[in-house]
Amino acid sequence: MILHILLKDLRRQWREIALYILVCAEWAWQQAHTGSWIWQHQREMLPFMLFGLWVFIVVRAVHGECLVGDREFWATRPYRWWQLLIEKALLCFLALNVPLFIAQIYLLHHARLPITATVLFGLLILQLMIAGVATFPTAAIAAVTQTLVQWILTIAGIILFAIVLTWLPWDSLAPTLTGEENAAGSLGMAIVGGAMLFMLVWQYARRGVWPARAAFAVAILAVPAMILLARVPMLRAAAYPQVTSRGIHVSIRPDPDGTRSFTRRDPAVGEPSIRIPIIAVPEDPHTVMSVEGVRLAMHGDAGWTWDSGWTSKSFWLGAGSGESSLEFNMPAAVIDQMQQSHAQATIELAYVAYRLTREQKIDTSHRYFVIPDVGQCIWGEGRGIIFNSSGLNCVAPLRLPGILVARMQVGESTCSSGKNAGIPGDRFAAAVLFGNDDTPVYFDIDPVRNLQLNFGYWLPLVPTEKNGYRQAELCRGTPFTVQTGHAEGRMQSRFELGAVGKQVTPDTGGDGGSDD
Amino acid sequence: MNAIETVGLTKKFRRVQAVHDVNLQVAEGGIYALMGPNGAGKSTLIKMLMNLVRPTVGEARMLGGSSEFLRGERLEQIGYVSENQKMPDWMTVASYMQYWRPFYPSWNRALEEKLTKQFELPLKQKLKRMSRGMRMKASLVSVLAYRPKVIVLDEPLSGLDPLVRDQLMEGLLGLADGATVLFSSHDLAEIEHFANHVGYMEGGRLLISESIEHVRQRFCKVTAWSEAAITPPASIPAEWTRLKIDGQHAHWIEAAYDPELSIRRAREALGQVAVKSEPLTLREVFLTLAYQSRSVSEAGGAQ
Repeated sequence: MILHILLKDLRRQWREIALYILVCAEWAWQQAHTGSWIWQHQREMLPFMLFGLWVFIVVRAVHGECLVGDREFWATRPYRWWQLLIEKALLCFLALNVPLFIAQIYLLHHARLPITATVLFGLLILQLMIAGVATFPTAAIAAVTQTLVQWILTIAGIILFAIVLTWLPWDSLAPTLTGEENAAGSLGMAIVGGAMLFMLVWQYARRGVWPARAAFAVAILAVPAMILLARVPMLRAAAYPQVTSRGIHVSIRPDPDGTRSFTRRDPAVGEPSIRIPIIAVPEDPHTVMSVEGVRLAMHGDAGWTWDSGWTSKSFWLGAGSGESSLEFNMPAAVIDQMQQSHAQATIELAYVAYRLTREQKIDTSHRYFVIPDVGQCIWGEGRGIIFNSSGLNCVAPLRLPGILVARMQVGESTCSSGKNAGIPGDRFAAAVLFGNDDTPVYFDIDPVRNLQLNFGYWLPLVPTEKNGYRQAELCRGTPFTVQTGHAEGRMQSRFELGAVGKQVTPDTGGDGGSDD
Repeated sequence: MNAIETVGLTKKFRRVQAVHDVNLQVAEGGIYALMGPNGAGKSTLIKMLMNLVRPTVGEARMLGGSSEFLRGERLEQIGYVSENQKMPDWMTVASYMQYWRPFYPSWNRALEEKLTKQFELPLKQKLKRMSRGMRMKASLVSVLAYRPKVIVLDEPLSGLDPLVRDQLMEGLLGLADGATVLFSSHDLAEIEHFANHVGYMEGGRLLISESIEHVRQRFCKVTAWSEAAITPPASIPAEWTRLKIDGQHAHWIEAAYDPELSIRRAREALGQVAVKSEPLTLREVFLTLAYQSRSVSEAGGAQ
């Protein structure tokens, strides 16, 4: 019976499905040939067309046996609700996901990435994710509307609601960190997903539109509720459990000659602020911290205290991260007090801890070379990039590792003689790249992940004949090592920075501080 | 046993009471015509029977089971045709029939072909290009072909020309052998020759529900006359409506006619009169009921 209804729907919707397959093929071709700037405009339009057709096909599929109203031809016929629901899911999968799946295999193949069983499994997971994001909510809203116009008006209403939400003074509430937003977002997704699942199942099983519409209202109201929930302190504790530092110790950067200030006060710029130079001392070279939030607390000798509260910051600490500075807005009165007495500073970091694997040596002597378990790189041009002189263009299937640390031994360069002359042999250029390993595959209809290992700032400078400097070059065969790693989780740690104070110097915007 | 039954069935749409406390029974094999003007609540009642609309209060039952759970397998024994029902317009008649076949284990292909020919349905034509009458025929064939135990028709004949109407009804009754048929109509001429039971709805209430024979016997136009002028009675018997006194003659319609009892009642109210009665047509019965119902509601409104 499922097949019988499916064939009926395929006959009914073959025109839009054929158009979708054409657009999908065109998108795949354009995406594979992104170097061609001539098609830039069309290329940007194609994903929107794909999405528009996708939504249209889903809405028409659900409305084919409309679940709202008392005049529907099918409602008095012996349909089994679960068969109809499965049929609609199958129709969407066959008509939408299968052509996209084939296009994705073509893209991976074109990018010279091997189609392994793991990749195929990842592609299937990607299809489920796309169905969850594009098909599922579209179908759920179609299940409580009667016509395409009603569906569009409902979406317009949701957009209007989102616009109103952005107008609300969220800034007056406590700021949030990524971990809290993710935790609240996950909860919100669970509520919205649950409500939408209820809408679909209820409508197919009972066709009682009001309970389904009530569930829809719950899904909509879950969004502002989760924005508020992200500000609840308990959620921060849950998102970032307190741990002792994982292999990295953070301290104030040593300042033996006292030539650099580490505080700043500049009323002309706006609110006074304090800048604290820090350095990460790695106790375990395989640990990297990707910091998402920072909190500074001061305890003055005279009994005063000050707490910056959590502020969102983004930087990483680990072997080779070098020096960093942390800046906090601070009331002028506190800065005055700091000038009069010592204070003990404590810093708390909310971060994602990454664990690196052992280093792998990569043979870079060929134009194309493989980074095992990551992807493939090419010297010079890459997908969509004509030339990259200070880095490597790589592609990976479906996802990037949580973290990737790449090092080029620039001092042992194989560039033509003299190009990198004068660089000590132990010097290396490093590139650190954070992926996203929250999900098994990255959510993007293009399964080819571009990975630009840009060594730009990290490349040593080479003196030129004209008394200037230029960045060292990278060439085929340059010794190259890679470490990948995965996130161990979000956590927070406290570091005693020790005594600060009586060192506050005015910063007039010159070389008062040191930003790295 | 009743194939169709409602108990205290009520439906409110916000402030509008579409159906009010309807108790209806249709025996197995009965052909029941649900009559009433437009807006009387017939379609809402039928939609509640078919589980297309949920009742506010009360219960509807079809073939012994609650209509609330009328879905899936149970619908293999019930056919529904409505003038307002949407159809998959993009299908041809042939693909429409072909689509429904696997849904019904009892589908009779020979019967389908016979009916298609009998109704002169163009197999290759799309439903959207067909007249309303032809669409109703296609819909009816798709129901009769599986020989359902209960056939529910909501205004199936409204607006159709008399020839198509007769074709449809003859086709239906010729084939609905042993099936229970409930159909609604606001046009009396449509049903008089087909139904054996009738119900009359007005303002959401079911005013009568009985066999046509009984209705015909029960409702009579009564004329009384005497040699002296007739004076209006102090109180009009409850069974009388539309009483008119014109000198030596009085006319009324009696809703519970009984040859002996009615004469006695007339003499008690009007004195020594001679009485004669003649049966009403169904049209006159329903006009009387409508008149009565509106008088009651106006009186209620005035209070």
